Amino acid sequence: MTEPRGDESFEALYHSAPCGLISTTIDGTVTEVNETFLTWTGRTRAEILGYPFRALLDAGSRLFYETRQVPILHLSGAVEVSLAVQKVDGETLPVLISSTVISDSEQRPTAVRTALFDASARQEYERQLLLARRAAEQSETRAAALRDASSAFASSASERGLADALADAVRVAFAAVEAGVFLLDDDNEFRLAGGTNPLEEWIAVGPVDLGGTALRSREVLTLGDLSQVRELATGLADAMEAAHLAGLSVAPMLEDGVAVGIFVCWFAGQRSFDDQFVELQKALGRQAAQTLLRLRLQRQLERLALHDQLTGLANRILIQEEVNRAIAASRRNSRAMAVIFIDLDGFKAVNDELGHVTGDAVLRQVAERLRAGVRQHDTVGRFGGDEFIAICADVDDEAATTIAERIRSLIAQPFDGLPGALTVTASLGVAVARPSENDAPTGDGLLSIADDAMYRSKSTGKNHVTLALR
Amino acid sequence: MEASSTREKIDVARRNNVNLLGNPAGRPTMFAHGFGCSQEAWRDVAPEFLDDYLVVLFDHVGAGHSDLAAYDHGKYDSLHGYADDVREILETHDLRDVVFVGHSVSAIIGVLAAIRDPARFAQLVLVGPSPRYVNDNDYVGGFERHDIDSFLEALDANYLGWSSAMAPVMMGNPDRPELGEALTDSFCRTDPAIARHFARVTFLSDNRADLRKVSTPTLILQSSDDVIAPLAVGAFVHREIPNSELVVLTSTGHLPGLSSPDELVRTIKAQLS
Repeated sequence: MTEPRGDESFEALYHSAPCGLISTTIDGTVTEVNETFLTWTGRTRAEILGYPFRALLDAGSRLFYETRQVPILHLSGAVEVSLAVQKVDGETLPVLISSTVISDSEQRPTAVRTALFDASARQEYERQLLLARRAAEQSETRAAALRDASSAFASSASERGLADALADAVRVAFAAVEAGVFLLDDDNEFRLAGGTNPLEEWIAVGPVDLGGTALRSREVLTLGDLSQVRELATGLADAMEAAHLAGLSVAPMLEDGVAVGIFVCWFAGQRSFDDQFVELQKALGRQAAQTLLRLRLQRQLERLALHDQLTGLANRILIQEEVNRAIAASRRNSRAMAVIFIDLDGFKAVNDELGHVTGDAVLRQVAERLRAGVRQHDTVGRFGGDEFIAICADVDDEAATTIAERIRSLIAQPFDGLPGALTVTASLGVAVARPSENDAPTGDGLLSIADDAMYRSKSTGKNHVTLALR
Repeated sequence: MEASSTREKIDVARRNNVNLLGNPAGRPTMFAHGFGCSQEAWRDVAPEFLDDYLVVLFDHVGAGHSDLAAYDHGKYDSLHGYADDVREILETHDLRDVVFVGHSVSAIIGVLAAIRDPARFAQLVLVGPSPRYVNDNDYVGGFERHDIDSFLEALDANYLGWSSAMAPVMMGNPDRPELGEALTDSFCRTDPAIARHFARVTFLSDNRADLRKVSTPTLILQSSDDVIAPLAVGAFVHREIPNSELVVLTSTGHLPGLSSPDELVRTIKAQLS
């Protein structure tokens, strides 16, 4: 065994170790530091000894040290972190730090030993990797938002469902605390259709037309903090402050220039909005508008298929459906229901003598009088030609007859555009289905009973109501 | 308000990993941890209250053993989201006459909760509070905006970057090999992405205007040498909160609960007796 040479003494090893070495008291006051650390940072021993360890760090690292490193060191006795040391020339040196608490023989913590490794070579590379990973994650999140939204839209069967799906999608995608979808109604007013509206008095109506602005400009309106809101409207800023809201965005829902509505995101914290945010909001607004217009078209087509174009009343297909539905409901509720068959008297002469235009005008007036003659929830339809049907739930013989009489007397009034010589009246037949009956009729059966009763009205002088006796 | 249903109670308890300990008949005393840690931060303080107080411990969502699935970026975009959680914990257990001890950011979270529902709070104890960390004109918060940005980078480097991969090869703790990569998992567990958001929300917050709305009696405890919340900030908080008292502790650093638990316990108990 040979004696260690001088430059291999423990002290030399300590001072010229390939890492910085620092000892501190348990409270973090530096008690020893090696030459390597002094060389790295350009500081003298006197500038370090007796001062807090955290004073060696840059400001960001100091925050991390105090909030994270110190508690873990206290709780676990050891910690490994990545920080930046402040050099005397103002530059920072990224370091990996490993600290261990040293205890005395009675397990009382007495000191902390810390080793610091120069990490500058790796740091920039790793940081770039991290930034790239974060950018990729962000665009993936946004792509996922669009994908999820479009599948949610596709499965929406109603405007309400679509509006709720959009509100949910944007709330999650943009980390909003609340989100609301407002659609333009027939009067061109914004109505909340999905999601929530924390400041009702400000968005749907109100002195600041945020929605109108977004739609007219076709741009997303972004207000990232209250001072921006205050420039626009102090009242809105005050209301947001009271509701603990710090920012908002208003995006147009447009498709091919057709304005459908807006969606609003409310943020609890201040925001700055990048191009990606704006583009994604626009894309979601466009996609939702497309889906909404398609839903409306679909509904219009369905309506056309089930309604009489001339009068807007239910057509024969819908009447049959409604009669079946009403019979089923009547059985469920144990309540009687009725079908009223209405056939016009003298209409053929109008058509023959005055032409179809006048005939059509009379039919439209008949439709209006039918609607006026029945109760609010009754269904009226045009069965064909000059035959009409009324379906009334929850009526007995007497109530059904009363409704039929009311219709008869309304139609017996003079019609606009008809000369005095031509009169139009109605013959009516009433068929009541009672759920207690054993041989309860089918829908077609009930219509046919009402039809027969109507013929008896025709044959007994017209302008008359007949109740089918069963 | 009606007492909350059992289901809500379970959900809130799970979300915030709520632990009720100590004397069930004692005065409810809630301890709220600051940024970077979990309820473990009260390890040396809470046990001293178990005999006489009903101690309420919890983790903010994202920290400790809270339910990470409950993290809602939109809700927690401001400290009000965290304050709502505090109120919900008190509501679901129908706790009143509460002593709220909040460290660091949780001091301000407690302030916001007490403003919203003053009836439940009897005493606020704010340990190292700061209503705004970034300097603003004459106001000294202790940090510049770029300091906060460099802090967020430090967070990145620690939670998402290379340190976790490098840690095992560093001069470690030969006598405690288990303290390797899993270190941050076993103490003050924190979800990296949530920690980053919480850090932003915390260190860029400005709740100065809320302080004067506090009606609850308030004790402000300030370490004599705290870089995160300097003495000037403690004095500001004391000036703004109407019914408040400021006590400067002899302990140094931002974590008197860990560095000088005895003094902290003694001071709080003296206030409550």
